[in-house]
Amino acid sequence: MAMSCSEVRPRPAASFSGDLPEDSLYEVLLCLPAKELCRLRVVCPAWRALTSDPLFVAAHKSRHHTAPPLLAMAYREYSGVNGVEISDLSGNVVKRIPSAGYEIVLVDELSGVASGRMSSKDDTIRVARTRLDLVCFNWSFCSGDFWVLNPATGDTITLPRGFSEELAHELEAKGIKEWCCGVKSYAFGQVSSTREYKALRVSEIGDRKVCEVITFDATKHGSWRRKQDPPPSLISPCHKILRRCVVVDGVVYFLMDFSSTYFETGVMTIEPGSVASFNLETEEWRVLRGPEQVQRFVQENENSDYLILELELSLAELNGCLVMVHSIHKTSMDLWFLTDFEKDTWVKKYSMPSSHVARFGYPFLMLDDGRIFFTRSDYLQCLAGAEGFLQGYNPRNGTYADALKLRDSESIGIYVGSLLSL
Amino acid sequence: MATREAGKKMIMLKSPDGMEFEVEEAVAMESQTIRKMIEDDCADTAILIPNINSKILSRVIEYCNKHVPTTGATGAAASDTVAPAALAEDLKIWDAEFIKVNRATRFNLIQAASYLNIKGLLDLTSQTTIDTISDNSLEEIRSFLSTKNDYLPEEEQTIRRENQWAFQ
Repeated sequence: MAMSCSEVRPRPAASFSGDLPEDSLYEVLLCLPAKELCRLRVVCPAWRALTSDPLFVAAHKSRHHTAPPLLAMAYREYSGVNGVEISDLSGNVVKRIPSAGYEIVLVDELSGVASGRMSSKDDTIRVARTRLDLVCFNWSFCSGDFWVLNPATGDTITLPRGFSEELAHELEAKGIKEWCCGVKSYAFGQVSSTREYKALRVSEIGDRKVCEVITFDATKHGSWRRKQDPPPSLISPCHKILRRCVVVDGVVYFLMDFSSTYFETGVMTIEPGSVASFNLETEEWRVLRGPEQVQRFVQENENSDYLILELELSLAELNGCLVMVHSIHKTSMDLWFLTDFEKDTWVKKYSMPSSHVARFGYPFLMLDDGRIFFTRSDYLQCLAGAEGFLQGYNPRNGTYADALKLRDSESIGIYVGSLLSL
Repeated sequence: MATREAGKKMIMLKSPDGMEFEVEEAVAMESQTIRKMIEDDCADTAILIPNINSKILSRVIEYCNKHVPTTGATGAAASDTVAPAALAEDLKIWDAEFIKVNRATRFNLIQAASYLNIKGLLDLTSQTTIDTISDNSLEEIRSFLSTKNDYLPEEEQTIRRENQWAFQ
């Protein structure tokens, strides 16, 4: 009886001339880390073909699923060329993908004469904080457009700029010009069940916020769809520079702004630490309560400035979990993990002395070995686009690794695609 | 189905060079490939193992015999008398002896372990090769595996440049 149950394997066109049988070579190469395989591509064309084959890449990815991810960051050359680079956690640049950039001619509305131009040569890319095999970015000045880059193919697609049909009609009816409406927040994520990518856009029209969703498809251009308006106090005045929005496993989370409404009304209408969530699969909003201790801390410290307390809170994604970061000045940084989404259960898994916190800033990434990587700016967080550092910290023994210098600690994402497909 | 002792199912494995090996089902099921065939009920007669000659197949069976978990009445007695740590240490020493084979045999064992899907054996047999590849220059790897470098010089330069960071 013949064996029929063996898996399908890539067979490179070139034949292997070595002693090691092809199947054995396949197994051996599958065990090696991706970086080592990139070096081995120089051995011979057959090895290169095998290690680039999509089937091999997929098998390697599942074998090495705990390998540290790669970083996606913006770079800028002196010539004015901007792009996105993929590097490992030590800062070795694996690939640079230059961006086509943009050029906008400004036309004077009255005379119709070109009055100036804006181009990407004078702008910088801001990479969104995603954890996907795609990279999303916008530009510091021309921030209304959202770009999606596939680092493996180098293809970039710009999400449509205009409003959804429903909103466009509404604006027309009310006589509101589109340029009066600003995009307040973007988020990009992947629905776990369908593997679909979707973007969420929150815009401000007059004094209200509207929400739109688009399903991203690399082959055809979709359009934005209007969804239920977001809960109030979704966007704080300093939303863009604080880590208040994060996507975890297909759900977008916003840390709600409790202090602004208090200032305006004198009444606390939003519980401190409340989080609004938008599920990219069901496309519905929900509000979650924050950790009880965080609420209590704010209530017990109501003599202090609420705005300061507001600034002590931020959101992070660590190990596939939503994390509320509570950074208590000169005391500690507490990391609250949302362990049960349905019951709003938060567990404080880490509390680090603030001597370390001051050093490290915001948690960015947690590896399987328990190490936590923090980003921090050189300057006050209020100065957006400041140079900064990425640094690994081992909570078990309180030691930290060498810092990696970042051009912009606010413009960094995680790339989970395979190194081998780059 | 042949049965040697009460409660112990036997499986017949055949190598392409005509040798037959009668092994306990539990031992044969150390191979995930054979396990699947047994579970799918396509193993009532002898199972032909293609591409693996009798010399290599007998070594594979030797490995599986040693590594099959001891369960049941006799197994429970064995684990009562021997501490698991000591058992693991014993296995490690045995493995180290087992892998003292020439290069050609080792490569054939990797192939067999891969085909039969025996993870422990695969890890054991490929580790030396993995270490050799990781620790050596490209030239040394080529000579170790007798791999011919059929890149044109300029081609090799391009590939090297593309993967420059991996040499750091």
